[in-house]
Amino acid sequence: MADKITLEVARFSPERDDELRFDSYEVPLHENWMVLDALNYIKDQLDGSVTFRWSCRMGICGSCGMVVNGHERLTCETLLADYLPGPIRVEPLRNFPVVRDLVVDISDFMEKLERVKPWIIRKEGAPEPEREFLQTPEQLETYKQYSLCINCMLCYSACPVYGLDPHFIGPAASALSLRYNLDSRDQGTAQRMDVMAQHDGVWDCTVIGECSVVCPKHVDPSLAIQEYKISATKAWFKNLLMPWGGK
Amino acid sequence: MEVTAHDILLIGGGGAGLRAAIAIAEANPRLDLAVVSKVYPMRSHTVSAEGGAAAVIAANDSIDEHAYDTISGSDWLADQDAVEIFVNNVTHEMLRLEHWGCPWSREPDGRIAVRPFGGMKKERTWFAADKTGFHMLHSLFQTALKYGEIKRYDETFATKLLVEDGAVQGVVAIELASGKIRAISAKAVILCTGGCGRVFPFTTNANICTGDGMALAYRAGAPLKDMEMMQYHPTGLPQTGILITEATRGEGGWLVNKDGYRYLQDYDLGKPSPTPVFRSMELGPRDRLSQAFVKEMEKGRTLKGPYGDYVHLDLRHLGEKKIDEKLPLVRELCRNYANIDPVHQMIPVRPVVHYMMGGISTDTSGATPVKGLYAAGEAACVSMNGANRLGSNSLSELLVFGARAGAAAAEYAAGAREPSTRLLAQAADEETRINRDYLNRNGGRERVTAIREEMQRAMEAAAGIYRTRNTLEEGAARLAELKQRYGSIALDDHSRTFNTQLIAALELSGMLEVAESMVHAALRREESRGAHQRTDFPKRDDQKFLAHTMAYRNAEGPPRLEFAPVKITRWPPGERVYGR
Amino acid sequence: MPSAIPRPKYYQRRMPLTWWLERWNYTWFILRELSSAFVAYWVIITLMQIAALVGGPQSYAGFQAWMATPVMMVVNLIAFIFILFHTLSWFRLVPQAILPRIGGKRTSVVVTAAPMYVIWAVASVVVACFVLGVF
Repeated sequence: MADKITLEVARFSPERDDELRFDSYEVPLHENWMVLDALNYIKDQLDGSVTFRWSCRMGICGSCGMVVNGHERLTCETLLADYLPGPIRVEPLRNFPVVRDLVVDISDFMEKLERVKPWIIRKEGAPEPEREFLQTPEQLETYKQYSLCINCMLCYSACPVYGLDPHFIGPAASALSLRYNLDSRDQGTAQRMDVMAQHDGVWDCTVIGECSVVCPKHVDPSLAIQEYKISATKAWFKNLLMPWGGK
Repeated sequence: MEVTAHDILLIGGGGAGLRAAIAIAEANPRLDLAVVSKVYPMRSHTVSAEGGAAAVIAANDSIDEHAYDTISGSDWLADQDAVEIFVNNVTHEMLRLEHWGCPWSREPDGRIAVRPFGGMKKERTWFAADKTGFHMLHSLFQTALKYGEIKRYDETFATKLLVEDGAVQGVVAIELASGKIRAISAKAVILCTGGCGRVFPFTTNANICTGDGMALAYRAGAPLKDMEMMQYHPTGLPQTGILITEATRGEGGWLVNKDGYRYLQDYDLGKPSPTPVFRSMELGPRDRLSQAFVKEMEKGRTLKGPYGDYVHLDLRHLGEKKIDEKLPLVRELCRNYANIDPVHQMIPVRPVVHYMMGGISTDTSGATPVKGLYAAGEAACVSMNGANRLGSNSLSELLVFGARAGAAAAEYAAGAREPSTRLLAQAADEETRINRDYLNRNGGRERVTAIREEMQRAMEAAAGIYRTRNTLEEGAARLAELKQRYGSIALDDHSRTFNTQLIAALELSGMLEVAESMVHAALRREESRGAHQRTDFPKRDDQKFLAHTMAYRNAEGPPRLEFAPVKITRWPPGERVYGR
Repeated sequence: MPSAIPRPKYYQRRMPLTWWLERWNYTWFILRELSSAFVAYWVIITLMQIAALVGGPQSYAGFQAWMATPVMMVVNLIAFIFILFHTLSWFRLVPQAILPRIGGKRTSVVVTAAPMYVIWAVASVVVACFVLGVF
């Protein structure tokens, strides 16, 4: 196996640059190194100004999402050796403004995360049990997959709809919204429907499905959005036929 | 300089910080509070916790037993009033979190499921598969979004506590994205910044676990308590140090040496049985298991690998179904980072630095001796965990003491004076210092990476699982030298925009101070207790050392060490027995 | 829970007009959407065919002659390929959009997609029987 590999790392510093450029670095190729290890090697040994986010290095904090050779990856889970002979192009996530090098501004995502009301909503005066809400393993299973999102935003980077229309609520926020709808303890579906059943809610999605392809935790946000479309449609008809009832 | 004002600041947005913020918002919605975190809250290290959170819920369990397990687990260094408060409140707190949507794993009838865990006599560890910390953090963060009163300063690094008239009155902080240095004033500050595992080279801890809050408090005159008590988790992956949860042993995993022998039976931890036995063998306390590894290594019975010695964790007898249902993250981690499938192969593991039992000294309400300064979570030392923490106690600790610190700070802030205007001068000095010593400095010979790596190597040599006066004194000397060399540090990155090298340099300065307190506290405690093992003082000495070490920062040299008594209520110190 | 921080100068990248050529999945998506145009084309042809039928044997013969010209042969072949692609991509899409639960567990992609292929095969056989004069 080769003992070195080249990384082409996107650089942008607002004090100095008007647009993204690339710097090349040669790093040693250790057998078990991830792309993140290579980036840390560059920062520690070659160029301390290379800037990127990372924390847990075990694929659970969601910090280190980047675009590696044109595909969205968590760099802490992406083996360097898979890209031999190289070079490996490392870029920031797409569809977000670039703050510095590989760091993007995620405030739009944070706003959308909050907008979908991702908390347990109980109806006014609804009783709460003294101990735990009973929730069977089957009930847990209905929403569990959608609760696994680590907020890494690879899905937003991969979604051309979000790229063309930043108002789109997006995959992760939709999956999280559905996660709460499906949670047996929640009673807030109608409140979230107001947010989601908009044209820049789930209806903006044209079922490209790339979000689910790139999701490192197999959340399948595309499926969540399509499920949401069905339940939004049902809710619309129910409202039409029985405007007096329901929540 | 921009100054913003709030009533209360939470430094750190992990489990403890978010729980405290919610407590404040509920206690007094008129209080203006803000969470200042150097990362977005969902990146906080709480997210990596795997195995579970303990609280009594089974019919055959009792809070007295939870208390006894915790106290004996702590080798009697825990303050028993703190433990009593913990066990009295934890079930209620955990049920609240369940009501807030945490997706706990369940029994078929819908009740909360519990699993066995190390050092616990009964099953009381609640779990969300093996991603408990992830689910707890996301549940807390998403619930906190409900409260409009909670503002956030994301990716904002607090560099200094502003203290005036003996009371904390805010922080100076760098906003990463813009590089702007701002003063944020407050009547009370709660430090929830987590642990400091990154002072060591091999740790389960994330990059962000650099003891920032401990350094902030230390520099503001608050003592750091029991800093010699650093826990080694028995099962981390070699090379990366990634955590393989204790739940693997709770579900029935075995630790075997190179001969396939369950070696823990040689270390007064009981006799092997095919299924787990509470407080025995693989379900013994973490300090004893890590110590057993070292002894096995000395006997030449461990396996040798490219990243050091290791043993095997055998889960094959659990079966694929159980592993996929209860330990899915473990399977994923082993495949990604160890190239093995635990269903078919044994996992290579070795002890790894994991948790700091010590920290900023607080009372049971989270208050430090400095007025207006509070702390909760791993950054604090109440002390609930004493000389060794039981697995799954720390996640539930976040809820109990996070809530208590929040409530206490809320009460204090409601009656406190407005911060003084003289703070601005302090803040301006801090801004000048950062510009002069880091951003605008040319010349300087030392690199952040070099000093950090040397510090880590020094700590590993000085304060590993077994320590002795020589190694500790050597370590203390190395650290003093590194602190001096730190004065000549130079950055490659002079940008103001998202300068992570600057943050790394500031974190390093804090780590050097925290590391120094750890080594000197270890020198001062001339006994072996829990996670602190001295080969020159191999016995526990309740006569002289049934007390907490308290390290006070000394600007001219090594910290001043004092002792504070351990609070004993209902459990007089006894022999710590496992496996019999 | 509003964030209290104002924003510095960022670099905003624009999606290029050729974004859909960057990744095979994006290109597939655009082709899939375009294929609907050919389905619409086929609907119109079918309506024209019915109108020609209604118009009598001469009118229908004129229609058939038109269909037999080389240009229309090529156009119809292209349309047929796209309609086939449309059908298969639709079948591929359905289990990505709906994965029903039976007895609490999600059905697999195969189980969800299989009925569509089966019905298509049966319908094709029935139509073939009519065309080949079996019925």
